[in-house]
Amino acid sequence: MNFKKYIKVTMVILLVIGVVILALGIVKWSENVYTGIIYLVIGVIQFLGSILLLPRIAKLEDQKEVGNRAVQANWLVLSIGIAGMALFMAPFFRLEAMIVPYIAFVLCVVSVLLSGINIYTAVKKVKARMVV
Amino acid sequence: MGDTVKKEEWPWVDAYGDYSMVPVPRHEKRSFSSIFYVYMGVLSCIAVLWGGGTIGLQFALKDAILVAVIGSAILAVIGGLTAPIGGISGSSTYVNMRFPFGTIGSQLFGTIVAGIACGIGWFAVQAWLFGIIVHTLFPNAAWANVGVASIWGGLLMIVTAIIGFKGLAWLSYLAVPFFMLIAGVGAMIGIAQGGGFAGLMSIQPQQPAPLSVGITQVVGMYIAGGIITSDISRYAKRAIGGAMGWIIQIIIFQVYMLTGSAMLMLATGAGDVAGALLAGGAGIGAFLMAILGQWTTNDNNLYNGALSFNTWLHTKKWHITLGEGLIGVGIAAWVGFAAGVSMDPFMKFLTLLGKILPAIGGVLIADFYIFRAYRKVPFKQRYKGKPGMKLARLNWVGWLSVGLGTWIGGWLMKWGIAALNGLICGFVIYTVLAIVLDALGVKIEIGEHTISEKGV
Repeated sequence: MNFKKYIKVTMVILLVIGVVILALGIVKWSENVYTGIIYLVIGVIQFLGSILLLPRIAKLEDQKEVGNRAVQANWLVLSIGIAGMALFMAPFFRLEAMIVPYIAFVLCVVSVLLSGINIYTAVKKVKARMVV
Repeated sequence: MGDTVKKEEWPWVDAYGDYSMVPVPRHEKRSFSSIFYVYMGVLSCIAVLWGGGTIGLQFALKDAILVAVIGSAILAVIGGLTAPIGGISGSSTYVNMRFPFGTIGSQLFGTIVAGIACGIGWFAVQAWLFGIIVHTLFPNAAWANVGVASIWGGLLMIVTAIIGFKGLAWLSYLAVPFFMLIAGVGAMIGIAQGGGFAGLMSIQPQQPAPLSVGITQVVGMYIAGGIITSDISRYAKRAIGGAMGWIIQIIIFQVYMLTGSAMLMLATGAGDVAGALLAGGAGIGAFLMAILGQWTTNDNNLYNGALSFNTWLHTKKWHITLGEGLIGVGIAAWVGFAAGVSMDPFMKFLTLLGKILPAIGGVLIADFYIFRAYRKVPFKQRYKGKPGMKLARLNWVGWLSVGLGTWIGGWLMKWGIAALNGLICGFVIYTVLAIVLDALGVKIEIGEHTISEKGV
């Protein structure tokens, strides 16, 4: 699989994760509006961070430039993923049923791993810059 | 051919690393998002949340928002004026200071503004704050003793500062979105504990204060950062990029962070933000906030400090970063072991800072925007150095304006916002004196120094 296709596939996976967290946020909203907002914010940032990259690399032929843009988007997803991992299991988010925070936590672990691998791959494979 | 063109356009030698004494070459310039993220990294610190917390203890929510907006708007104007200076010249604040203060003046004032204040003072204070927060979160752990945590936290901060701009950017990419989110969580905890937004709006502060006090605190808290914006904006591809990056982060994100932490403190009435977050249920997020928040800010303090020391300490920048970092860690650890959990050194330091620094910024702004225009230097050619260029050793009007501006604005005037008074006084005094004396044919620049290809 070439690099651009690899990035597209992984970003779609991250995009789906963002959508699922958004859905969890809507579920949470009815239980606790304050935690629901945080779910929605994390979901929206994951979703936008992933989806905005796709049109930005659609017409690019230069693999390094694709890598540079992928690095930018994946830093955002990585950071928000770490925040989600730290927060979803915190007491403030465990006031009600635990199943939703657990699912959100696992999704964030996946997004952190995937975005971390994407940054590493972009730097190693196409010599993308870690600071754009 | 391309390389030849680059050499012709950039006739410097970066002898000390990270373009500390020479303009950043075009191929090393960074995107708006990188500049914005690094600025955000500086902003994303416990001190800002702590500042918001202090506001939350003094003002009702409506007034707290007003204080945050007015204070941030003032800072946006100051940084919005200083950032393009670095964007155009491509040089750090201290190299730019050679023009209004002379080469000796840039060394002296640069060392005061950034070397001592940021690189050692602020760095030590932030490392010490880091120790306090870690101790608050884990009061019984030996590794979380204020002094011990100041040491290992300070050493972490030294690492990214030594890497340079790239190190600052990597960490900011990682930490900034996280930090913004944790500030949002603080606000949510505050609203939840305050009985909803309406409930929070009705809470009256524990220690009410006039609006001007709050605005002074907001401006004083970050005016040093507003004056030395060129240290980062010199890397911006477009001069306007640095200014926009600064303005957006201040107007939107500083207000957001100050208000978020003010809500938390207003609702909980707690003494510190990290403790309130932990008590409110932020869990490990509170701990990560302490680490990442202090780290992203304090590596910038060291970075800026090393740039200023480089104007007279002609050695590799990372040697200076390591040296000043170790001094700062030593001070933080000493205060941590001796003073324990006390806010006094921090508050005294902020008060002093608010009085000394603004006049220097005022003179820099006046010289770049007014005096150079008066001398008919084209905007995009201002502060553009080149090897062999002759600069004054000393600009006595710049020195006098800083002295008078600091004295009048910081001590004599008993009304208004002290930090802003100092800046405006420095600006006005320099503008009037420099133009009038120049028109009368009085020499304001003394001595002559030729810039080498190393920028020294």
